[in-house]
Amino acid sequence: MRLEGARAVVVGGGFYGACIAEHLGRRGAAVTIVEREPGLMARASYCNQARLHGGYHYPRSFGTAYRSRLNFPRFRREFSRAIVDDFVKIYAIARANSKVNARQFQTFCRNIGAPLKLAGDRHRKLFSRTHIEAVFEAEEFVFDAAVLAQMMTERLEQANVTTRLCCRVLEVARDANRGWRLALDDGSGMNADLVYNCTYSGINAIGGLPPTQHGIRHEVTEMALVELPAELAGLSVTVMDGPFFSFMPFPPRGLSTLSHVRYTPHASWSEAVDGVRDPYATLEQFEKDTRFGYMIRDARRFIPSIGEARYRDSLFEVKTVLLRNEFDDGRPILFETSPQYPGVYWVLGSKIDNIYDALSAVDEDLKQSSSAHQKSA
Amino acid sequence: MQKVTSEVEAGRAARSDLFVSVVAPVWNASQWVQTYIEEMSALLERHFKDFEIVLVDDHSSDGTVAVIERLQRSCRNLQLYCLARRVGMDSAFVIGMEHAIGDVVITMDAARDPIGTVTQLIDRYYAGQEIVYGLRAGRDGGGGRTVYRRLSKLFFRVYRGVTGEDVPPDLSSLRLLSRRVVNTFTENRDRYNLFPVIAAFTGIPYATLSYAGMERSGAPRQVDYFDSASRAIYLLLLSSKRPLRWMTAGSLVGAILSLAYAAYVVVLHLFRGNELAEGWASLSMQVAGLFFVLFLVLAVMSEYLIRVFVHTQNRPPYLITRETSSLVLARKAELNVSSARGAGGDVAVLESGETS
Repeated sequence: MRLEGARAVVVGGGFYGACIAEHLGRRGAAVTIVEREPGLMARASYCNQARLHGGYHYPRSFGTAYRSRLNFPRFRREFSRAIVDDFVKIYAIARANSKVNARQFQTFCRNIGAPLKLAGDRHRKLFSRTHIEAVFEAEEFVFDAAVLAQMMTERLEQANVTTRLCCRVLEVARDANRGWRLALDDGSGMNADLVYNCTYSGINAIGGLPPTQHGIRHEVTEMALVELPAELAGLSVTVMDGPFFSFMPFPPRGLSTLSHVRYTPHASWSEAVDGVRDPYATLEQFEKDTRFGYMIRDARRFIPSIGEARYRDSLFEVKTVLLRNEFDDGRPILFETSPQYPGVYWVLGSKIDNIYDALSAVDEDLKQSSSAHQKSA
Repeated sequence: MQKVTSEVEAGRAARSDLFVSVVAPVWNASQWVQTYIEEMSALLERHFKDFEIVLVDDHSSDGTVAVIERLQRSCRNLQLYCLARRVGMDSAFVIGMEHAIGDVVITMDAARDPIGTVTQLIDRYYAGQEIVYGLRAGRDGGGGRTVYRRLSKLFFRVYRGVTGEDVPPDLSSLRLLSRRVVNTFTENRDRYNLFPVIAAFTGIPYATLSYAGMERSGAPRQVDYFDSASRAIYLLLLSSKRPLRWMTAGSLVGAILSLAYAAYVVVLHLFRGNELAEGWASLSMQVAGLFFVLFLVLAVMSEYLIRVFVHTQNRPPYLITRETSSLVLARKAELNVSSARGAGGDVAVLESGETS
């Protein structure tokens, strides 16, 4: 399928949607991107710990970790304006109930080529010796979601992509002539040859489109926004590997995010079992009681100074994972097509810096369908 | 103790900041654990904004874990830890305490302590007490337990004399410990054998709460005298250096006596040698005395050697096989509005139209 003149609609203005829209635009398609919020990257792309994965976070999934490392230099080059690197990144291994021990972690980092060294006394002293086995200094950065959104807005403009904000796609149906007809919530409609469903949590909530074949699971997650005490200024800590916590800088607000594996998920459901298809509605009705008190009390057993952190706010958002990766570290990108829906793509990615794998999948599929077209012509 | 002082009132007004953890081990409790969880959850919801119920499953074999995990879908803040092997109630208490994150940790026997004691313990905490021991009085359902209780009381009296550590002789497993007290023993390598007395090591003064016990499980707990005796020995030996000191003193005395006796024999032999039988009597006595001292020393050394053995082995004292937390299903949103919310007081107002 040649892209010149092809009409493409990307549903969802998160980072994946924006990048795919730009990518298609540069390749010559006439692209419109539709986003329900008043700005790009306002939902899941914003409500996360903004971690640019160096691979450290997935010691039990070599594949995910390794690909993170491969993608990182490219992402860093391309989006350097949005990257924040002026802090010290610490990875601490818990003594009890950790799925990896310090030696395993060191070996793993060596295998994937991730720089890791034992932390100096100044940082080691911050941790409780009973609860923490080893403290390492790593190299990991965060991105500024606000700056990234701004960059994507500029890039979409340069790629001649039409951006429709505050706009939702309600239904997708076959067009009488060719391609697809999308009905929007303001009553209008648009036509497209290619439809990319990049709505993340809402991937199964578009009328007229079947759910993905992969089962998915949603969680209402809370990330606390805190002001770190002076002793921890300029520091980011992740305790591995189990029901522990992590705090990282959050540049758009000048605070730090605090996330706890046990207390961040407030509720969880699987679409297959519970049949709920619109997770956004669930989130809106959800009682958003902060669990910061729990997070901070558990965290201070490991690193006592965090007890002085001041609570400022919480970000509640829906997090979506594939059922098959519910219990492991794998976070592959979902890229689905359906023979009954040619030209429609379901894309779901969990990690911002894995975008290049998604773009490769887009290209690969277009190439294949182009050659298939030629064969059948 | 029943009078409500102004300190207690002030404490109650500030309760929303207090995070309470209630720790209880359970073993083969599938018949009654649901009642316990529901009642405890209701009480804690009524009085505290943030809390957690920590249950340590001591390797149950009757489906207790399944019952608890089913309740986790409706009860929030219910933490369950399942152990790989049975460790016994005292050790399970310590395991629960070291995983609890509350500002205040309450331990209780879920089968035999009434729920209402929680608020009474907290009242004493508000009045400034960091350690509160519950003293269980009342019916114990049978001669076996009365004998056991008497022996237990006697033991702790002896314990106090021997070790010098201050615990009330009729203490039960119901107690409240402040976060500061809990933090003092998380590094103690012998903590799993020292649950009854571990708060005493801090030296912090304690308060007591007398209460009437009950029987939630429907059947009184079996008393295992061998196990109790074994635990008693550990308590005596691992709490203090005094037994070892006495042992040293005793050995020295024995040694001196043996020496003195040997001297006596020599003197006798020198001055009255021809009156004695061919050395048989003195030889027997000497040998008997020496063996007495030797066996005493060996017994104590053997106990300590066992500990050394365990420590040099560095086996993990326990393994958590499963840890699960409450995840309330989104579609059951109505359960987020707990039954206690309309119960008056300064709780959040239900907006009109916001029905359960």
